[in-house]
Amino acid sequence: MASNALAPVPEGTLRAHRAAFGLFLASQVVVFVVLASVRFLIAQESVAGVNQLLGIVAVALALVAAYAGIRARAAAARDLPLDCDRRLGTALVAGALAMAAMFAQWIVLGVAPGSHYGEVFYAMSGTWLVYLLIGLFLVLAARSRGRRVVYTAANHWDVEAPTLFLSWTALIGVVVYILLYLI
Amino acid sequence: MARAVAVPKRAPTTQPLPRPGTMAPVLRGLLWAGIAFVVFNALTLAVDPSTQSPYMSEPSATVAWLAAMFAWLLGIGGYEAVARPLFGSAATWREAPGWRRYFGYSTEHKTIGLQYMLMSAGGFLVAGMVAMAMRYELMTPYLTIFGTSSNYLNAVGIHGSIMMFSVATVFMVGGLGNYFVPLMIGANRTLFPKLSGLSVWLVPVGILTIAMSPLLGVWTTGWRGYQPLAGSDPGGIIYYYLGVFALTLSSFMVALNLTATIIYERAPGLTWNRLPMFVWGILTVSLLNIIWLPEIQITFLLNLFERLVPFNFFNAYGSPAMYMDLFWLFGHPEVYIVVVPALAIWNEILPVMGKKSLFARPVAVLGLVFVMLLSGLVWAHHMFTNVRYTEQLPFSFFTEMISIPTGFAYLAALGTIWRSHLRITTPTLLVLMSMFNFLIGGLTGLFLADVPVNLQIHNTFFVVGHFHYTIIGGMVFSSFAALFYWLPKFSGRMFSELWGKVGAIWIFVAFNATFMNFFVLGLRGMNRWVGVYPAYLANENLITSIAAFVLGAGFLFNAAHLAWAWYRGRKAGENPWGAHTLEWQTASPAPATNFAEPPLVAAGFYTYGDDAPDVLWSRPAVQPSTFD
Repeated sequence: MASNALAPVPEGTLRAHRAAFGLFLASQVVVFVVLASVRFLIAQESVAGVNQLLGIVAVALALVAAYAGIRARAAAARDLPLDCDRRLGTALVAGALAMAAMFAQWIVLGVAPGSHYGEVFYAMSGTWLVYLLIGLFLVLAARSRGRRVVYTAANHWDVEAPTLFLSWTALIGVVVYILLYLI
Repeated sequence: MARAVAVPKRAPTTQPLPRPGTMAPVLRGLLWAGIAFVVFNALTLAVDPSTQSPYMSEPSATVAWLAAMFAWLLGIGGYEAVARPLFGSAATWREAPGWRRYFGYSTEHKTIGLQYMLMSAGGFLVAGMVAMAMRYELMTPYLTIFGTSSNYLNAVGIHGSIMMFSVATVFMVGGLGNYFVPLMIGANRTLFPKLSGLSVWLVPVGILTIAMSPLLGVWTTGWRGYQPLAGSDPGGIIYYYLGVFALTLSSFMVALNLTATIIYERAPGLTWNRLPMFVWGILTVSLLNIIWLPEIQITFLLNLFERLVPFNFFNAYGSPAMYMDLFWLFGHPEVYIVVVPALAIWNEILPVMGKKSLFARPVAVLGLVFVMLLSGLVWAHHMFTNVRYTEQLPFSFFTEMISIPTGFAYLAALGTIWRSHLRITTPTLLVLMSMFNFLIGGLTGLFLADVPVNLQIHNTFFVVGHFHYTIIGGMVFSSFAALFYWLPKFSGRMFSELWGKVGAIWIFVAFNATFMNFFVLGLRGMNRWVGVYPAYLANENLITSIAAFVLGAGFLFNAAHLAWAWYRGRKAGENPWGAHTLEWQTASPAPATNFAEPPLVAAGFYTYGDDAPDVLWSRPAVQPSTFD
């Protein structure tokens, strides 16, 4: 084992970390429940003026980032740090492209920003972008940390947490897409 | 019952001292925050096309505030302890020894708990001084010191916001919770010490942001931030949103940490059935915080965007009623976030002081849990004047129903007192006073839950009296009870019973003289949110103000007594009350490592009498107390 390999984390501690992180992610669903409430309370009008292709591309890229994160987690769990590093890099690129696609959507959006639907669109997609940005920052931090220490099968929580967050963000992206583009 | 072993108080520390010449973390944090504020304010002004002033605009004030907050957290120690390790570098933070550890980042839960309590007390002082100014203003029916109604309303908003978000929500959960939950569950730490180590430093950010918000323009909405008024106020309202965001973020981080700690760090044998009452209280409140704080945070952020972009979610072009719903969806659970730990404290202290087993403990726990569950179903009773007739009945029903689980906790306390040989110590007295006050708050709440009465006294001082009885009468009195009860655990010293009782009676009499008058004033037509009122109410207001000043002095007296006892009180011994809970099974004050080995819990903590079982299978060796 490399000298800079992380010391194993007791299984009980890891279980506690996972549960607390799950609780955190569940709590953040409340944010999108509020946004969805606002969407249907003040902007009941049907979807119009959005670019469906850009929306699909943004969410699909977020899902690709999430999948790369899952593979990175699996690589870390199999003591394959180089593979983990590469997968995290893929997640970063895909996530950044997802953000770019959503920004492109903002630019070409054919909805008046002052309309209620436009306001809800910017608020909800903007909030999602903030979560995606945080997720990518955490993945970047995990990757940078992985250059200085070695994640092991017995201690890769620092990879697990950001990639779980990225997966959650991608799933929320799907929900946001349905709420803003389909219904 | 075996007693904890007396040990020398101080033991040599092995912790390396900070480098000589290193700037104090708080000063460094202030410096970094100041630089970040100036730089980001200038950068935003440079790129913001809608500049309202050459020196500061609402967007630049917002961006600069965010940058300053991050810089502050890095400056107080987050850079070395959190940011560097996050990217794989070694953590280079070294906690200072002695009193200096309270002025920087720490991962020690007792230090964090005391930091929370001190900062929350600072918030209480600031908001209390604002309250004194408000009562001074109300001594006459016309405006004096505030000059304009807007200034007065801004003071009301600052008072309410700081009291609710930095005192009522923070003192018991962030302060007492961080300090005592690990001790009471037999743990040596919280599960996420870095999280709480950072979160505590968001409290001064929030307090200062709200207190200084009038610098950006007065805001007149009060702590509720009602729209569309908020949309038409000058810019100070954005620092209300941001200050509350910092404070709620702090409470959210604590809630996550304590919930995970309670679930996963309990000592062997400490089953859910044996969990201390105070820990149950903190757990239920933390779950409420985890559900509802993100809700109010996104609501306030939407308000902030409404100012900055601008959007029209909640103003006259959107739906002000939707804002009210979203605010009170959080706002009413907030009341229980404040009160539930107080109910738990009653049932923590009374069995110890009465040396009688806690009456109907499972029912008391169920009461806390059901209050938590029902608290999300009653919000619209704050909006009876704004909702449809058909919506009034269900919310009136649920509001009255919530008194049932609240009553469970109450009846457990009464059943414990019944035929006990209750020692009337200062903590006991304060608990009994809190129960009386909360009873008045609860009974007047029943009136307010009734729609016909509510429509008559809505927005009068009757409502203000009701919630002050609930929050100050319930939570603040219970907090003082907890401080006196646990003073020997904090400091190893005992307070003066005489001065403790004098202080307790002082605030009890002054509190009731102040807020009982609020009911009279409300019924006679005194509205909230006014600095100017009809002359026929002048006498009652004058008397109320004098009583309020006496109450303020009483709080200062109790604080001074506690401070004196902390340093000069007589030695208390390890377990002066003869309590069974785990925090008393280690040295007082508790050592840096609470328990040398995990305590093995054998029985519940609330059985007293000759047949009371020993709560531990074996008595662990007690660590030296290095925590002065």
